[in-house]
Amino acid sequence: MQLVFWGFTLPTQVEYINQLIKEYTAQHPNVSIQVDNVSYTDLEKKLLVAMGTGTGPDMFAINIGWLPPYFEKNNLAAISPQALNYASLDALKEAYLPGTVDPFVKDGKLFALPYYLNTVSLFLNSNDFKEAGLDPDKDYPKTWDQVVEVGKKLTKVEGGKITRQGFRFTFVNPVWTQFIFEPLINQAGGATLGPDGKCAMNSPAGVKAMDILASFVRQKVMDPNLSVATAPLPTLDIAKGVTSMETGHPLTVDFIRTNNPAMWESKSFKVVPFPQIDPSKRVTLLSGNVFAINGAASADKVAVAQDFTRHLVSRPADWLTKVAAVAPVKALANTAEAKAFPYLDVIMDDMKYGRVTTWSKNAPDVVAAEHRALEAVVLNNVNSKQALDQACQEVNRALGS
Amino acid sequence: MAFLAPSLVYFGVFKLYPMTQAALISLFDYDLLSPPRYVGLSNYTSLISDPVFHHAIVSSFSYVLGVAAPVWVLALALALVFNRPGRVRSVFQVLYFVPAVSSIIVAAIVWKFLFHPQGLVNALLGGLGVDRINWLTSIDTAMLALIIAGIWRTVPYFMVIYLASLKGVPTDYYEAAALDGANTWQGFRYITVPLLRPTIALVVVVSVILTLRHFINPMLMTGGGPAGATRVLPLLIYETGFQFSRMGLASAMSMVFFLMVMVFTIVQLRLFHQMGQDR
Repeated sequence: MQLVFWGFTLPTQVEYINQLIKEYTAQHPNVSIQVDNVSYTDLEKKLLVAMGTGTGPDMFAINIGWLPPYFEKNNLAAISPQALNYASLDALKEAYLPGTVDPFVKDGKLFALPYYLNTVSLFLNSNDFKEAGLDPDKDYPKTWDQVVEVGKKLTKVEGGKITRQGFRFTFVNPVWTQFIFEPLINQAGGATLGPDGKCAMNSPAGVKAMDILASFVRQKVMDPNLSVATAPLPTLDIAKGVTSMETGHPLTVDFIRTNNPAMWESKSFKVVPFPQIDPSKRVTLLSGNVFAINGAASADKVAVAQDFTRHLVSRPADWLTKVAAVAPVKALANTAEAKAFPYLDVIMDDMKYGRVTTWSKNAPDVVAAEHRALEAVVLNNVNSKQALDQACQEVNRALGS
Repeated sequence: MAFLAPSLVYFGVFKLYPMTQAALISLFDYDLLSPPRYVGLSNYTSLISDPVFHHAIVSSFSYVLGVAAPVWVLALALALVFNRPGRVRSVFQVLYFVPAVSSIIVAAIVWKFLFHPQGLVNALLGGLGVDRINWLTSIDTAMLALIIAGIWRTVPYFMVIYLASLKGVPTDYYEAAALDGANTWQGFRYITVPLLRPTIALVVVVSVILTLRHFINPMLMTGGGPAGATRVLPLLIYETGFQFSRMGLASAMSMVFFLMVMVFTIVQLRLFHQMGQDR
């Protein structure tokens, strides 16, 4: 039997999944697995067309934010907890970090399995802190106001131009805009969509979130034009030493290892909790990727896909060491690999306060509108309320159509 | 008929059938994942009051005007230069044609780097005392950057068309005009331009159609940003269909786009025909 699997082109993930496929097919000689990896953002479009035209893969890896259309329209096959070696769905939930499986359960059935979750934390360049007379262990910012204050001390300007950014957040594409804007609007007490399902990002909370993001540019601790135009990878600036602080996800740790061996060897970076509007009410981001099975696949293929999913997620410590991906299972924290992974405790602590990104079949519209609004505000100095009103106008039109 | 069959089959399968399907789908609400639901003309009526669609039309025509109009002049000017004999000219002629045959994706990525705030374009302008321009991230300059890249890409193609046409103009006409005392400008004005009129009509019509369809540069260089400033109609149609999964609405946009191009082409051809008859 041939199983078709689609994933995305994260090199470390491709390599590890290929290894897992080799193992699985060696154990199951009657199964062959054909893999097709496409770029992260193209996967969303390719999968949509393929699923719509009956040419989709038997199973796939997908960003959480792109799952709702398939989830709501029953295009996915249920994944049996027993096939994953759990006695029941409750037993599976118990093995995972609280709340990380619930979004994928409908009518008591599991339709996708998170294999690595993302949150966003703050990465610091310790050498820059020391150079500016700051102690990276004590003086790191806990609030967004402090990010500006500390950022000013770290920023270097030559000839009127910023040559080292005190702080930056990445917004190279809509997904990364979502990673910074949505936790901020949540921190401010709002959400992108209101209880009525309509756009709510132009609420006072949304305006506050956008004003905070604009403040880094207006206070001249960040030059948003430098990386946004050509960044080959997000969150690479901290690894390249051109920013002193940057928000990044767990993969950023691996970007530092591969792009700046000197920084990695000398341990001159630090990961601290994601800054807050009010540190007593912590809110962070929860995003990531899941494995899902095509609901149109035949019963015997679904059975094999479930078993292959079990194999894919069977070694969370390997996902961490080989891909720098944090599997949301409780057992991970106690492994030697987790203890050796820099700042995993901080990352997993941030994850505890994570809220899932916009969960709606119209999420692509919402995220694209967020991105346009952020570009208008941060790159072109448009008023936050005006930009978000425009975004909501676009989103509400999409929701109504 | 048998001679035409391959072309007819190609046109039928890859053009006519998809266009007919698009016209049909434009009458449905279709998200690819659920069965299509008939909605009549509501996709079309929603476009009448859709500011995003209107903005995309304006962006498209700004882009077309910005690229096509200079192309008409620059392509002809280069063709006139290269129409004269000379080995050096032949080398440059080949070099000038390179943009038309280079990979459009590679070219878009290279332009993206050239227009980076710390890229070559700003470095050259800096040498002239011009302050840093955020080409691709400013609402004011992003479209201009796309237009520059578009001109670079489009000029050589039309230069070759002009050049082929210029080769067909008999040199006797110029020699006779020179004997009558005509200068170079008069030769161009009263011999070259009238004889090139069919080619000029072709270049104007085809350049407008081609630039209206430009998609790769906005997609790769700006993604339609910043803040939707370079979201031309083909890009909006792509986003609406494949990103926001509203195939019915995207198809309606495509049909409106098709009608716009057709009307525009008919008007242009009529104008040139009229101009020809007036002479």
